[in-house]
Parts: sequence; C-alpha cells; structure tokens
Amino acid sequence: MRNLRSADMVCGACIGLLGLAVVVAAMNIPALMGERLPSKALPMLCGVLTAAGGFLLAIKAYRYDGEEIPVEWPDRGGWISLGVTMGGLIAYVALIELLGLPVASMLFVIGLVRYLGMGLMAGVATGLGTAVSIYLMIHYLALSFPLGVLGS
Amino acid sequence: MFFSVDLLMQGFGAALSPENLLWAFVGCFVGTLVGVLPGIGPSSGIAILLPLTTFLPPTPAIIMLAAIYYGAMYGGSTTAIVVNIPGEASSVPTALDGYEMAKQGRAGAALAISAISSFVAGTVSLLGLTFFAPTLASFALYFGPPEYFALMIMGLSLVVSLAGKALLKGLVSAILGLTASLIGQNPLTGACRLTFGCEDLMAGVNFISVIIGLFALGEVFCNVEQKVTYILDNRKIEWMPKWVDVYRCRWVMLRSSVIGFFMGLLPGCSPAVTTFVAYDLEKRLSKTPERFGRGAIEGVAAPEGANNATSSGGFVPLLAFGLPTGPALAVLLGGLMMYGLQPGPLLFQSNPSFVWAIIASMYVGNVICLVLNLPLVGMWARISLIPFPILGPLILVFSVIGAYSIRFMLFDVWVTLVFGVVGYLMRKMKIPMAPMVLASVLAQMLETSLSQSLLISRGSWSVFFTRPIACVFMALAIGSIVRGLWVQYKTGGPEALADGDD
Repeated sequence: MRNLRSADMVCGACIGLLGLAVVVAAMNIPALMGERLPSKALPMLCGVLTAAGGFLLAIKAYRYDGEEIPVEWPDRGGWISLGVTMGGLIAYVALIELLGLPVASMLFVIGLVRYLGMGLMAGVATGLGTAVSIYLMIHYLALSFPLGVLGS
Repeated sequence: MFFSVDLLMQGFGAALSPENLLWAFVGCFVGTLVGVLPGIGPSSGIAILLPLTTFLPPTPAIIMLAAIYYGAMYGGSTTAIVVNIPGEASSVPTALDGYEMAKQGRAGAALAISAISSFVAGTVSLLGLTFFAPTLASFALYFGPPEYFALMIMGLSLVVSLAGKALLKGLVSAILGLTASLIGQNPLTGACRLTFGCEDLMAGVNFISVIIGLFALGEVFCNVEQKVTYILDNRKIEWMPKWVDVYRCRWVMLRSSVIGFFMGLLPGCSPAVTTFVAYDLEKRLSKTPERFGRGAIEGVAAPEGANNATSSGGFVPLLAFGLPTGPALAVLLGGLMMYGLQPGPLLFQSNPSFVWAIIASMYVGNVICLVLNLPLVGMWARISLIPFPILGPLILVFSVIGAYSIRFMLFDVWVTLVFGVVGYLMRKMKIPMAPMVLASVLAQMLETSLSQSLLISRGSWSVFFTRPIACVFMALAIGSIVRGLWVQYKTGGPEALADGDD
C-alpha cells in the first residue's frame, strides 16, 4: 500500500467484496405485490455495479505500468496522533448522552487542544468557551440536545 | 397579470419602514450565522426560530423568516471556503475551488466574490419573481415523476465531469454514494434493505452526515496526522477580489442566476443540484477548465450564484401556488399558514399589500446581506489564522453538533465518524469525493421518481423518452456522458491512477 497502484488493488478488491455483500443482501429483500419496480432492483443494481467497479479498479491498477505514485501515509508519530484523535472522538460521542453535550465537548476540547500542543490555559479557555456557548444555544433555542449532568 | 408598479412601490414603502427593516436585518444576521454553522441549515434554522416570531405581526414575521432563509444561503459558503467544511450539500462545489483559493491566500477574495455573486443572482431571480411569478409557476406543473427522474439522471451524468481524469474512481465513488443512500427503508414501500440485521441502520444514511464526515472530519484527520500548526500554509490573506476578477465573473454570475432560478421553480430540485449543474456548466464553458478544482474564482461565483437564485426562485411556486420546493420553504409555508395566510393565486388578490411587502423586502434583504457580508469577510477569513490545535478540536465539536442536529439522533453522529474515516482514506487514495456527495444527494429523489414513473407508465420505460421535457433531459444526460468520455479519450490516453481535483 506504499504506492497508489497497490493501494488501488487492495481498495478495489475491498470495494468489490462490499459489492458482493450488497448483492447477497439485496437477494434477501422480499418482493411486494403490485410493485412495478421490485424493491430489490436498485439495491441489486448498485451491488452489481459496486462489485464490478471495485474489481475493475483492482484489475486496472494491477495492469498499470506507468510511473509509481507514492501514497502519503503518515509516519509512526502521525499514526499515533491520528489514533489518539479518533479514539478521543469516539469516547466523546460515546459520553455525550451520559455527560451531556456541553460537558462532554468541554472535556474533549481541553484534552485534544492539550494533546495537539497548546498550553493548559489555552485548552481550558477554549473548552470552557465551547461548553458555555453550547449550553446557551441549547437553553435559549430550546434545542433537543442532551444536557446530561447539567439537567434533563 | 398580478404585477402592478403601484403595488410594488407600496411594497417597498412597507419593506423600508423602520420596523420591517430592523427585522429584515435581524433575519439576515441570524441567517448568516445559521449558515456558517456546519449542519444547521436554513430549514433547521427557520424551524428553530419560527416560535420566536410569534410575537410579531404577520408581515415583519415572514420578512424575518425569509431573511433567515436567504441569509443562511449567503453564510453557507463561509466554512466551505475557509476550512473546507461545506455545511450543506449546496456548498460542496464552492469548497472545491474556494478552499484552493484560501490555500493560495485568497480566502477574502473568495468570500467576497461569493457574496457579490449571491447578491447578483438573488437580485436577478427576484426580478423574475416580481414580473413573471404566476406565469413561471405554471412551469413547475409540467414536471411529473418522469421529468424528475430524467433531471436526476442528468444530475448524475455530471459525475463524468466531476471525476476529472480518474473516471473509474469517480464512478466507483458515485456508486458507493448511491449504495449508502439505499440503506434503510424503501421510501415508497417502507421495505427494509441493506441493514445487515442492524436495527439502527433502518434510519438510513442522511447525506448531511456523509458531507460532514467526508469533508470536515476527513480534513481534520489529515491535518492532525501532519501535525500542522495552521490550517493554511499561506498566512497572507487577500481581503477583496480584484476588479478584474469580478469583471471576469460577470457572465458566470448571470448564467448561474438563470440556471438557479429556473431549477429553483421545480419542487424537490434542491440548491445542491443546481450548484453542481452551474459549476459543471462553467467548467465546460471555460477556455481553461484545468483551473477548476485548483482555485478558479469562477468555480466559487457559479455555485454561489446558483444557490441564491434557487432559493429566490423557490418563492415563485410558494407564493403563486402554495407549493414549497424544499424543506426550508415548507417550514416557511408553515409560518405563513400559522398566520392564517394561504399562499396561492388568491393571496395575490386578497392580500396584495402583504405579498408585495414580502417581495420588496427580499430586494432590501439582498442588499442587507451584501452590506453585512462584505465587512464580515475579514472576520471569517481570520478563522484560518487560528492555530490548528485550537481550530481542529472546535471543527470536530461543531461537526458532531451539526450531525446530531440533522435528526437529533446519535446514530447520525456515528455515521459521520464512519464517513470521516472514509473521507480520510479517499484523500489518501486520490478518490474524488464530489461524485459520492452528488450521488447521495440525488439518490432518494431518483428512486422515488423512478418508482412513481413506472407506476404511471404501468412498467414501461419508454415514458422517459415519449414525454418532451423528460426526453430533453435524457438527451442532455446522454450528451453530457458522451462528451465527457470523448474529452477524456482525446486528452488522456490511459486513465490516470490519480487526479488532484479533490
């Protein structure tokens, strides 16, 4: 996967397999009486086209003999930063209903701002500002966002 | 028919009264803010703020709601240009060139041309609304499901152009977008499909989640990985476009106004479709199409003009027939009915002072939006000067809020995260994202209109070629695909593995 050719081969094969899975799932869609366009028709068509497109992409890449184009994957540090950010984001979304949007957002912002290299004060100020803005928006516009520990 | 100069002048008299001016200004300002926030579009904005207008009499209340609507259309391009985060599907074509301009230090110029183009298009389409509303409104009535299906096919044919040199990747991207949109329930029969046994997937994949994930999250992930200090390398910002840029865009603005206005008359034809059409047309007409996707100012002027013209055009069937062309106008229709006003031909006769005050206020509102937005260009452009370690987390938080506010379901946020990863991988593998967005926006109407057309024609596919308007759109779609393939064949040789357009 270091160059675009091998990345396209792997990506094409994965998309092709996804297309086959869609075809199998589409075959299980029950037909309904009086349908002019069967319920399974479009999903089936999309599945077939996805599979065909994916495998064609893989084959085209396999047969490609032009200049090698590198894929700019991150270095080890980059992968770690990406992993921490994604992990933090998943934790943030998972905690929204429990802690509420303002508090969860505040903790996420403070943590990520600090991790990405800013000082503690900058992190806390940004996090607090975010939480207060979100709380005021929810409160004054009567939006249905979870408030968690700050209320119902 | 319904137009008279006296009534229009009376309308201006009412629209320019201090009270109505104030509410138009408040609406434009709030609308611009609503437009700037990713995910919170005009429909949510109007729906949220509708209860706040109940203390006002009908005319200022509707003036304010209409101002929120087109104010949001003005503001929608801001984040697309400055940080490559289109909050709405209609801002995706703007992001393609707007963000490239921002990277070249021309964020201010891109924002300003977007405001100017929006103003020109808004004014041109208001002229259409003023003079031809009832006549043009009947145009919408010629459109049945076969015409819509043909129009959607024409929209999908733009994928060939949007894919650039990586045609196969563009097509795969579009098919993946279509497939993702089929997840959930069949819009006509309610039959469940492609959920793989997961009940949450029955809610379906909303295209706003796709856009926020692909663009906002994908962009942040790429910046995090590279440990950037600022989102833009070039920290010198050009605040205003050069006069020559505005002059170069004069026909672009007019063409996109006309396209946007006429397509805006059609119920269901959202600004997302018209902006892609206008962008593609300008790319095809340009003598230097290779500049598109690399910071062409016409690539910002065209979609922004079409976007605003579509939103103004939508008022024609709304006021003349009570027919909302999109979700935001449906909420506005609700607002009108809340005040006991039933839009339709009778409204022009029974309540002319109200109708013409609203129309006149839209001219005034357009000026307010321009005056409001040009000085704000500097402020919005400065967003890119915020250090990325602060801006990145804020973008993620607003993306989560935007995704959650689509249907107030956490499921949409998880879908956004998944598409964030997809967007990151698509960037790495040089797979164009615009075709996926276009396909996911068009998918539902494509499927619904196809099913309805086949019901009408008792299963005959010839319906798309025997009805004149549908046949014209089909011919245009086929022509567009053939032309795209021909251009690629002539210019390309073997298809490139990658293209830098996205």
